[in-house]
Amino acid sequence: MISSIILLITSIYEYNGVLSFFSIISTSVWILASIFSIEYDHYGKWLSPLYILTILGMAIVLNSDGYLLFLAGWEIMTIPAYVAIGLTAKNNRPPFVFMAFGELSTVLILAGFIIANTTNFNYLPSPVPLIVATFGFIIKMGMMPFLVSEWLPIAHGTAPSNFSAILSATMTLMGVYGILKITILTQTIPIGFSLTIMAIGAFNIFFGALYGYVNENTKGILAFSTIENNGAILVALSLYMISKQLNITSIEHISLITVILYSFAHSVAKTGLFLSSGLQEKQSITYSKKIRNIEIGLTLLASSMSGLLPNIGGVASWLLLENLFMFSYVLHNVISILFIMTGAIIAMGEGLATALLIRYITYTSIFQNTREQLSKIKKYPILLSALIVLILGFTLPYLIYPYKNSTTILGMLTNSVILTQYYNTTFGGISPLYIILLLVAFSIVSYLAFGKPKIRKAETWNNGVNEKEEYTAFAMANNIRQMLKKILRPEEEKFLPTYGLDVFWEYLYKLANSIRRFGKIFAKTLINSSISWYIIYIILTLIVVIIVVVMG
Amino acid sequence: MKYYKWTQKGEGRKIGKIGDYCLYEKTITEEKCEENKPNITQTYGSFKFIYGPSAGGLLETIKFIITTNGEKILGIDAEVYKNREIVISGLTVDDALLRVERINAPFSASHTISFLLAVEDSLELEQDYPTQLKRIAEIELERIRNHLFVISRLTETASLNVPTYHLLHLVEKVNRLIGKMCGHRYFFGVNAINGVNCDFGNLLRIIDITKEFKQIFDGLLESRIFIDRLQENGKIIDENSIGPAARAAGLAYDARKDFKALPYEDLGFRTVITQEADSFGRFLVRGMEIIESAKILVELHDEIKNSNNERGKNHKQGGGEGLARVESPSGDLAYYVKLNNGIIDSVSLLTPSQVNLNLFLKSVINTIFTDFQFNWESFGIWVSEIGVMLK
Amino acid sequence: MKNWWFIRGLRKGVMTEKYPKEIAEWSTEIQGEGTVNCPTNAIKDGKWIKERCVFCRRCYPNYRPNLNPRIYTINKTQPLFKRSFYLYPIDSGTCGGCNMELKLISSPEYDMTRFSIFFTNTPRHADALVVMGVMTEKMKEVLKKAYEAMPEPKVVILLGACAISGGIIGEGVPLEAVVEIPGCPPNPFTILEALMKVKGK
Repeated sequence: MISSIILLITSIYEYNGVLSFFSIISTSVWILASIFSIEYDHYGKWLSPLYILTILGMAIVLNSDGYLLFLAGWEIMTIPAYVAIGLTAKNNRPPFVFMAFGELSTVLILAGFIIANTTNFNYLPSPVPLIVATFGFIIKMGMMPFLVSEWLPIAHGTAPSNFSAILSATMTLMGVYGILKITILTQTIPIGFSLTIMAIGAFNIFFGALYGYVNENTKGILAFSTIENNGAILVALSLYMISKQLNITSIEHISLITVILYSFAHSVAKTGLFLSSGLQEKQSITYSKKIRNIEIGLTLLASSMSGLLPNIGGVASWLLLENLFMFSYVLHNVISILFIMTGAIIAMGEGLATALLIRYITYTSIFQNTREQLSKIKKYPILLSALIVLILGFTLPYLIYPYKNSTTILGMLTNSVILTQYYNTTFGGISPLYIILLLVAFSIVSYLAFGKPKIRKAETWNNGVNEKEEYTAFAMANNIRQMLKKILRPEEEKFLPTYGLDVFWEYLYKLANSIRRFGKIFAKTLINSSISWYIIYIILTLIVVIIVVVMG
Repeated sequence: MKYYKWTQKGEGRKIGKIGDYCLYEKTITEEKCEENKPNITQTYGSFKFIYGPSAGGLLETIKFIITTNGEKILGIDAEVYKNREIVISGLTVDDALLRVERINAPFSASHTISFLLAVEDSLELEQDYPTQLKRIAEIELERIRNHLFVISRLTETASLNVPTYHLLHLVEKVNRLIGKMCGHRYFFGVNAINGVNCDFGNLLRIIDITKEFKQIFDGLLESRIFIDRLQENGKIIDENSIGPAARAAGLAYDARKDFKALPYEDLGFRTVITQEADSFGRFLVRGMEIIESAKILVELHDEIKNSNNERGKNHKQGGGEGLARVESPSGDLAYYVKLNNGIIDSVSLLTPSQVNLNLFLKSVINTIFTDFQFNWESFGIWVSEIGVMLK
Repeated sequence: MKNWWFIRGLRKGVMTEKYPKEIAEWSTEIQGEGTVNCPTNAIKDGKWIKERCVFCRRCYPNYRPNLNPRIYTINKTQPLFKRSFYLYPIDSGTCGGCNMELKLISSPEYDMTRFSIFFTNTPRHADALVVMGVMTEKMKEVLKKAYEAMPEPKVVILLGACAISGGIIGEGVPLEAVVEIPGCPPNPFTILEALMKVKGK
């Protein structure tokens, strides 16, 4: 923990461009998670060393200045996580899935770096390393074009909570860091690729939120929320790429800031939420115990992740949607439809994300919770993360955002309005500082005018009988499960219906199987151990070689 | 007991539990007639949801305990909250009649006529033919009124306001017709042994009412949003069902055809059957039965419009046991009466609502919450009959 | 088209009546003279006690109905509800007749909504608790809870002979009411006028 504090302070001092923000984010997350881990030790002695090793790997990644060191840090980061998951999981699937996808991402990144053909971070003329490496990075962020429910929730859902916190919050952040670093170095980026990335991001927002809403595992819910937020960050990254290619500087800056703010919002809030899931003994949300003392923290975190101002999550969501609308307005041709559709899908996904978080916080802490007191060490990191999320909302944009203005008419003075603009024309603006000042002012006014709110308790009317039932968390999401049966495919005969299998995976599975069968048949017919066919192959090869030599 | 005999095993279709015995189509037996309730398995995330006893959507007081895991109803149990104990042994037939009328007012004609047929059966009285025809007229009028009311409850649940109010207007018209002809809108104080105190001169007014109803019925059959709520909702085909629920499932069970005390066979009418066993089928059966009942009334009009309307002579002597069954608007209704020297010894009652309630509880499993109200209203269950205990 | 309900409704026209064209005679006031054997003791010294009468017609022909449907008793009025009066019916042991007659005051002939009378689905939004039927054991608790769940100002209305005096079936409901509407079951016109008088015309 102390090393994290040192790292934090040094990264603030050595501010050398946008990328050091990632260090700031990561180190703050590590501090919070470490405070929580002091009392979180019912897993075994192996937890702390593995924890520290993972953090070390990520620190190396962040501070590397060459491809080789980057890759080394990447591997150091992945392997202790695999060990931790393997020691916690009850069967072999989660750690192997984690390792498989981790290695897949490493292979893709390695391929990208090899194509780049250098060992230091120089400017890259061709976009191919970017394309290949990006696919590797987005696997680490938890997304692959259609496999939504496969690896990330399984892996992150079975790790110990403080580990899940740093996995979700910071390991996925490394993916973002990687993409951003190579994007800054690349000169030209084809628009088709950026649009594909945008589509992947939007798809993951919607389906991540949907699958998360109907999930029953407390950590699984949060892992799907991670996928959803990473999708949003990916959309912002794609907008950065597009604006860089089309040379619209204002949107380029704004989208970059969006990436940073969204990463801040997501990482800090996700840490707090995962730490709160660590306080539960059982992993099923229907059987969870409601814990007091963290209601305010959780409410603020949920409101940030749902996109409410003046939290930083709200500023980031607003910026994302504004970017999309600006693009569709500026471009004024057929491609604008794509941006508007993406905006619509993102809005739907954010709605489901709000529902997801409300379901989570309601059943773990708010309303009719138990009377036990939590120890301070467990309570404060969550509260602290919530406060950071709130305070950063109305301080950070003013520090790093380039376009500000004031509107004295509405009382917003001294450059407090954050604007979005393109080619020096203003498009839209908000002011989080104004909002929080108004909130505080109105609360004080109503308190002074009406005094303390009077509360009266009345007995609930339940058709005249005494029974007091409560909707379970499973039942709360069941109407979506029934309505969207075709997509979600619940297996209703089992006691606990699981949603591990999604439609796309089934079709891809069928496709892979048919390819395998085709390959077998093809191989059998080609290499059919008959001498006559082999002689024919030799003669054919001879003819082809003669033709090639004659032509060339 | 000239219509029934005691046997070891029942013959014909099973109707239900009457007192301590079990009633079949042709015989009555002493076996236990219990229904076994299905086991409710607890699934993950399921909990108990209470509907009733006092809720806005229910017309009467009944408590439902629904086991659900979200939108779906996995299991259900019903508890009647208005249990009335009515002391009826030791009373004369006239005094007992006052109480039998008030067991369930919308089915009052069926209750009193079934009771009186059972009493006449036990006293071995000769039946008066014009009185029997008048009794048929009462039951058919009551059938029309009740079916109109059930259909209006269905359209009210579907929020089709114009047909709901139009049907309520027709219910009021039928009530006023009954009030004008018999003095009381629910046939209280009208029936006696071998006598009916009604003047059926205005009976042909039912033709206009039925014509108006046919227009509404045709309109409802074309209303896709209404029919969609009823189809595939509460489908049940059970050979122990009665009334419109059985006839909707294609089973031709009708007490008008298989119990010969009332002379239905002298009047031409056909039993209405459909093959869809869901709420839509029950709605169709009720609609078409209104038109059939109107035809019966038109045929009866000539014969009963001029008969005298005094109370019949009361024969208070004699004793024995009698059993009679009529077709009430929701199914078979039977009374088993034991008389002793003109004083009632014991009365047992089989109401259609108790059989229909068990059927309803079976049919509602695996439907969702929004289907519940349609399914409940389509059976036409009156809870006041179920909670009554006759002592 | 057969299911263009709006056009159908317009074509049917207005059916609301100021005074019903026909009233069933055995739901109106009874008068006469002589001694009869009334099963509920509703006739004493030549006077008819309306709260106990179940309209069994045993007093005929000495006592006859005179087609006056105004047989309710108003104990108090509450003019606060003049513009908006929400009823919550609760059934504690009826035979089904009072439920049906109460439902029929919303039919087009009587049309309760033109007097701003409405039904509500929960006692929390109700102004009046309409109690019907005899008192049964299990419903005592439910009635109490329903009454307590209603916000002030609230009134209680007893509907039907069973609720007021128990009729011939059992015991009446022991609540103090602003209006008692006797009858077995009461005529919808009687019910409607009683409600109008309670809330102030």
